[in-house]
Formats: sequence, C-alpha cells, structure tokens
Amino acid sequence: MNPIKWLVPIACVSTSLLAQTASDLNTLVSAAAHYVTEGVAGAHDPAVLALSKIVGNNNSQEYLMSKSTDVTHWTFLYSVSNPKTEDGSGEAQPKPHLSAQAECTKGVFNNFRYSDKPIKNVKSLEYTWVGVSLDNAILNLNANGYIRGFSSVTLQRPDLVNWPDDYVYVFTCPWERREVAISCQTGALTWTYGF
Amino acid sequence: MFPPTCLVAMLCATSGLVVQAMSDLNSLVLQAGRFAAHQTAPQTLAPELTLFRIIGGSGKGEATVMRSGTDIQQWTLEYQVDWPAGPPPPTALASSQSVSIPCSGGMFQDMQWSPFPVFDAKSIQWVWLAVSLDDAIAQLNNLGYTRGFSSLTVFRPLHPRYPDECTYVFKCPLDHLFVGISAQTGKKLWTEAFPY
Repeated sequence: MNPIKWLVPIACVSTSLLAQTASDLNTLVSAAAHYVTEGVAGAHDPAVLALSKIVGNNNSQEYLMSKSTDVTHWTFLYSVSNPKTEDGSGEAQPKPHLSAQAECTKGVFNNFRYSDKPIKNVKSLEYTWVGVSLDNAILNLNANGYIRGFSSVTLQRPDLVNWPDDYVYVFTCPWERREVAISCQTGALTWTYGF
Repeated sequence: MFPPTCLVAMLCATSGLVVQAMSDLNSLVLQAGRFAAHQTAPQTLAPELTLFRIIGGSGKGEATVMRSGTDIQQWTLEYQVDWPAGPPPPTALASSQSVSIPCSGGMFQDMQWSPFPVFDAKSIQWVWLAVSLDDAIAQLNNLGYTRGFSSLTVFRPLHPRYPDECTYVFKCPLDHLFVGISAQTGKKLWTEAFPY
C-alpha cells in the first residue's frame, strides 16, 4: 500500500483541526471586561461588576457543536455591587441592580443590560485564568466518550455543597443527557450530572 | 482506500499531542496585571509594579515531578515594587521592595508583600513569550530530559554568564540540572548543575 495515500488525508485532517482553533478565552474575558467597564457601564454608573459565569452557544442554531469555533455566541454574566447605596453615603436608588450581562455575537460585543435577578450557586470568576483552552477541553470531552456534540458550554465555579471548587467548563450533552465538567486547569473530567 | 482504523489511530495520536496544551502564558501575565491593579487601587499611593519572574510549581511540594504544562497548578508572579516619589506612604507596606501574586488552580489570591528586593534578574514587564510552555517542555524532552521537572521559572538572567534572553528554566531533579530554554526560539540556551 502506498504510504503517500495515507499521508494526504492525515495532513488534511490535522490541518482542519488546527485551522479552527479558537483564540485563548482569557483574551475574550479581558475584551468583555474592557467593553463593560469602559464601553457601556463604567461611564455613567458606580456599580461594580464581577464576572460570575460565561455561557457559550451557537445562537439557537439547531445543530450541536463539536468544536470551539462552533460557539459563536457568548454571554457574560456579572454580579453587581452598588457601593454608594451599600455604604449609605450616596443617593438611595429605588431598586439596586443585582446582576448584569453582556453578549458577544460573532465577535461583536453588544446588548449590555442590568437585571434585578441575582446570580446564584457560583463563585466569582473575576480574577482567574483559564489554563486549558476550549479546544483542548473539547478534545478531553471527546476522549471521555462524549462525542455526539454539545448544545452549550458554561465556564463557572460551582458554589454548591458536595461540588468541588474547581473552575470548570460545563458542557451540556443532550444526547447523553448529561452535563460534563472538564477542569479549566488540568483538562481532566471533574464531574458529570444527569438531566 | 484509507482505513478508518488508521484514521482513528491518527486522530487519537493527534489528540494525545494537543490534549494537554495549555493556554498562552502571556494571558496569565495580563490577567495578573489586572488583578494587581485591582489590589493596589485602594491605596493612596499606588506603587509601580514591574514583573521579574514567573514561577510554576505543582502546588504539592518540590518532591512532585511534573511532565506537562497542566501539571503546573501553582503559579507565582514576582514583581519589583517602586513607590512614587515624595513622602513615603503611611502604611506598613512602605518598606516593601517586592511583591508576589499567587495563582492557584487558576484563581488569583492576595498579594504577598516582601521587604526583600528581587535579585539576579532583569525586567520581563514588557515581553511576549513566543514559544508556548508545552512546546518548551517538548523541547526539554527532545533534549533527553524526559524524567520530569519539579519547578519552572520564566525570567531574564542578570548574570553575564547567561545570555540575555527571556528563558524557561526547568529544574530537573533526577538529572540534577537546571535547563534553560529560550522563550523566543525554543532552543536550549544553557544547563547548570545544582548540588546533590
């Protein structure tokens, strides 16, 4: 058998894998912070935002995602503290904001808005670093047998009893009916949860 | 016809190569800078911080040998502290000459102030690491140092004996050597023995 015939598809597959690697999510987080603090929120509001959760999906497309660049829609959820109202030195506000969110659709940040609903059961992600890239996390998801795609991915630190305090990617795998958590620092499977 | 089994094997091999690749260390430095700015902001006189070293360990002690980038779970970024000119700040931190920022499991923790200056290194405040940590480790292995490392330091040596390059320095306890690999080219720059 001619080995060259083997090499061509190998090269094609390798190239296609590498060509679609997404940029480092840390830079996405930094860009989002720049957008919310200097672009829309910081200029006119004393509220302090702390990143709590990052949710990625494919903007309601019907197909499941299998690689990082399939994730074209990101939502950043922030908890909000209102220092002027909390210490009593500022003007009272009728209803302080408890959370805020911003979106990033196909790389464009938009749709910043406040909400009165708190973000529950997670710890802050404000000063953290993602050690394992999204592409590598997906490879580990596949290596653990979850190969039929995911409908969303959430980066979070669970704040629940019996849940490890690890910064994790949580993939929603509808075919397996499981949420699968991959560590952002080691790439190891941390936990799974049925739904 | 291309045998599917071969394709699967190749994919597994590819996955094995990249599955442990970690995010860019440049972004670690940027995130640490954001954290440092946040921590120093409440002070009346915020000092100027200059990055000198990035130190990586397993977080499980020096006896633990690491083999991949993601084995490093405890990072420490060391900064020189320069207070602004004028009267010294009226805080206990005024005598601090250096500060370190730990990042454990990806989460930055409170700054550790120290009265001792950083030494034997040049600033890496404005540098970019072209060679990723995983590639540097692959090069370390290619050079024959395959038995793991107990710590990693990224810095620019000050001593004239060493080339003035931003360098990954791996401490290889089983080889009793420090191995310096260029963060710009990935080539071996030097090795140095350490005592038994």
